[in-house]
Amino acid sequence: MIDVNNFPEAKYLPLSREEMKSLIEGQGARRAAVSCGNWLHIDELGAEKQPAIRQLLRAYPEDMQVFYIRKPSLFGEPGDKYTWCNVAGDDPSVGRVGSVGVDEAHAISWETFNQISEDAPDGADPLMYSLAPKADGRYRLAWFSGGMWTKLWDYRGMANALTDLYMNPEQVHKVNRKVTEFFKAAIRRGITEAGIDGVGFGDDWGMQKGAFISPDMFREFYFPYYKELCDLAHGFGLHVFLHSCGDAKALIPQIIEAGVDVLHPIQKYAMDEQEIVAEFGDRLSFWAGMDLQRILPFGTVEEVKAEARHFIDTFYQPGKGKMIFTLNNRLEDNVPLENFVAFIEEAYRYGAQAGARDKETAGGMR
Amino acid sequence: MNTIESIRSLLITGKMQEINALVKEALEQGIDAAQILDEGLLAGMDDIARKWAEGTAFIPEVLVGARCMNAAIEILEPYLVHTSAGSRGRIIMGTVAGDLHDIGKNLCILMMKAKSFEVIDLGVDVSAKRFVEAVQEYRPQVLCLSSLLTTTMGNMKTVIEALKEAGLRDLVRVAVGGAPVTQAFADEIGADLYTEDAVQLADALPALIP
Repeated sequence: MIDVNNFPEAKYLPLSREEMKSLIEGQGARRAAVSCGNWLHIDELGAEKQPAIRQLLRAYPEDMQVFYIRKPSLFGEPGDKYTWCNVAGDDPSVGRVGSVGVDEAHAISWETFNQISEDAPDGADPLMYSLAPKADGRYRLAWFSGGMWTKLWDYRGMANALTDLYMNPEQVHKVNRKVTEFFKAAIRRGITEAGIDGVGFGDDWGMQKGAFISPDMFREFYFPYYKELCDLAHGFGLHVFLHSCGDAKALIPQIIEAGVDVLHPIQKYAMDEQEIVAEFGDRLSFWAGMDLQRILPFGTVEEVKAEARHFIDTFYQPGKGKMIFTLNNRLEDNVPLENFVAFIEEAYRYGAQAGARDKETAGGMR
Repeated sequence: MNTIESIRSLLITGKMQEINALVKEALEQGIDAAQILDEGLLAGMDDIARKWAEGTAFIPEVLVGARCMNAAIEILEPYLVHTSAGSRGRIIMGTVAGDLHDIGKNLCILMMKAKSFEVIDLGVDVSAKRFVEAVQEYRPQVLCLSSLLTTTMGNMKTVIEALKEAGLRDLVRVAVGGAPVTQAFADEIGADLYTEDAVQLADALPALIP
């Protein structure tokens, strides 16, 4: 149950966890849900925007409590357990400038990978769920960050990762197993330690045009691990959320078959949102992401509002729900404040209208 | 299937040892190294590019094909007669300032090299100043700018403005691309060419070079 006293400034009372479960499972909803979740990092935005966005979210509280598990470090020291790599002298960022792990210059060798201790990262780390906020009746989603595919290119760099699928297949499976075991520990512990209702992670399968890898290769390397995680989560009554940037359409059938319940974000201009809902909307719910390539950063307030309405018209399924509205990736500082405000206000206003229409229809039918 | 045809068709499989063995076999058979390169390796790379463009091959196949091709070229290298007529034009490419993404840029470079263009790679997070210096130094026919982020694509315009200020804009054609880039954006910043992907870029270059 939602305690209204927890949301004294709310213009729209958030959905309860039961309402949210009903929406995700296609059993109907009071309105389209809205939750920016882990795609909004207020403290990384311009100082002038931060108080305004915090105030906005008090008036429009999110419909989910989304929180990260504490991330193991990518590179640690020998003896460290809460890390993905604890080999002496492994950290390629030492003495370098720039990001770690994405390009070949920062990759580790398979020889180094094979020296990582088997208990790293440690699924029993006492602080794993230390970032979970106090429960307040809303749906609770634990976000695990990058999945097996992301971890492969964290370790190996993107170009190496893509060729490792051909050249070092057994090693790729070892990475997948390591990530899967850590995630399985996080799933089990999240239930007792953080009262979670769902878990999510991200693997970018799509480019602006097409998927990175073939469906055959996904079937061989990733489908089994995705299914293993989904089976475990479903056994505990949890939903599984997956993020994938870009055009991953060719892989969506397998993503559904593995058991993913909610897909984020259906990236506009990379995939046709109407086509995706028509083809997969009966088997999948959507954490539908507002466009950050063109509309939010460069559009007018009116264009933002029109797009928000278009998205709700596209993704909200009358009588079922199945839509949680969000951003299609992390909100960057190039989005004008007035555009973000317009997006949130319209998402709730028009989303509530859609829900109200639903209720009238259902009432008329009775 | 003769040896050259086998090299061509094996390239997509990533079987580097087999390909290298076939390249050596072809040399032993007395086949000209340039013919092995053109009709075996470059033709095989072009096959992969076509399949990628039509959606039946994916990035791993493009990259393993390229790695196998590069390994085979090392074997051929001592036998190849280098002529200046070999290059179809000189290209400079880099990812613009503030942006560390390189996979798209690298795919473009692969496709351009496979079409016998000489490509100078300036890497990622390249400042406008560095692009201008490189154009001055290498005098390329085309400068290719890449960006994945909406927060950095504006730096493509900065590069074009810097070229104008340095009096170099009329000496070089500018091509732009990357996930958020569109034809409308390319027109707006005064670029000469926009393409959706690496294969289209390599195909469009000849028409851009005078």
